[in-house]
Amino acid sequence: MLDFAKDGRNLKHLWWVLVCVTVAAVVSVVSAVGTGVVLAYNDTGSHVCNWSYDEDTTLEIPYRSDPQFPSTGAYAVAWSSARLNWNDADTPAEFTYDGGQQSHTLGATEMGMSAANGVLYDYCWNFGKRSATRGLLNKSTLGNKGAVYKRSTASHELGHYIGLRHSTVTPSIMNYSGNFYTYGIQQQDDECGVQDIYPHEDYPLECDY
Amino acid sequence: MKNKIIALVAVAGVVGILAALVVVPQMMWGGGSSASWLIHIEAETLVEGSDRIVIATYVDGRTESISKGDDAEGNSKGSITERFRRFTVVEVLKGEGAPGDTLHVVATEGNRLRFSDGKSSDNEYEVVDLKSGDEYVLFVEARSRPAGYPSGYGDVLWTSPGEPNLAEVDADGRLTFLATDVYRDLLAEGGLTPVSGSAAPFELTKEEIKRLVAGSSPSG
Repeated sequence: MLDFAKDGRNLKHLWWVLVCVTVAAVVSVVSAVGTGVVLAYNDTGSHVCNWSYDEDTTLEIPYRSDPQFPSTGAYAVAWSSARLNWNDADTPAEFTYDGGQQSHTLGATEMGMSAANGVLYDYCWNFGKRSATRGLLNKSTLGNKGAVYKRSTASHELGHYIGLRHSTVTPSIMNYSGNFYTYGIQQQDDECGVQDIYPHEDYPLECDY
Repeated sequence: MKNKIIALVAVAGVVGILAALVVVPQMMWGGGSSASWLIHIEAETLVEGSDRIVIATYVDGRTESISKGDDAEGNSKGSITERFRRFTVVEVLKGEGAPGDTLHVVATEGNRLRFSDGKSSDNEYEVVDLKSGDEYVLFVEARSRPAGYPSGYGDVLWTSPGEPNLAEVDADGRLTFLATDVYRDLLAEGGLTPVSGSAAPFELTKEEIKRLVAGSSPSG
């Protein structure tokens, strides 16, 4: 049987070890609860990577230009017009510029000739709350596309940015097939998706499905 | 005995700390990426959205790494890995060209991004395997060679605006589509099921392609 009282140094060391083990165990458990929260086509759950939201207020979604991959010219127009259209939609979501270093960034860069048209890098705190996000348009695939196509892609990405998954409804900017790239802006089904995620009395759910 | 127990507990503590070092970043930055791909679930949009549809023999392929250059501080912005696949045209079903033409079709295998905060993201993309000497139906569009891309494949490169973009064809002209898991997953997400033996949820034949092309042309 141990008699730690006889050796204060060992007791002190043991306490530190126990503290470390306890911290590690707590961290592991919390982490296990909070990981795997990906919002995309491969998400099998419901909306688990949304923004923290107070139902009585506007949902302010911060963004800034990506300093590493700045969107210029037609790509800047695509992002800005898509943001403005979402801000005009019947939802509490509103994109607001925030130049802080920790805020979310939107940009454009070359990502490969047959890669995705747009990518969101989602980073979530535990329990599925957003922490930081990067959104990029793929200049390699969108380079020869027109303004409506680019804006449709930006609108689609911003839909993910807000918290929407893909939709099978036509018309919907979150539909991934057919002619979604001809819509340019969000449709009623997309607004209903946002209203469903972020309920607000000023924006009652417009769809009954 | 006392020292052994303390040593065991210490080892457990170190293991715990190492585990914490691994999982803490995931806890703080847990999540992943989502990418938006255009897919076709109807033959009409696939045919309409393709500049050129050809039956071609796959010759060979070569992978190239393309640098994105450096940022203002001299750090690499990352790179793109592209596979350049060479085909010899056998039959043209839509668009210009003639049997014997060489097409270089580009398929993206990887994309490495380096962000300004030092974090990086490595993305690998599935590319459907092909057999040299086999014939495939290609649904492609023409693109001018982007800056930084190797010039050895010509000034016009071919790529695909979405999936499916590749099929095998039997003697009766029936197409069997090939596709990546991304396409299959997106179909499943939409509750769609591929037709038997094919990756696509629709049937298509050479004659149907020609009919659709004729129907969409100005001369109708």
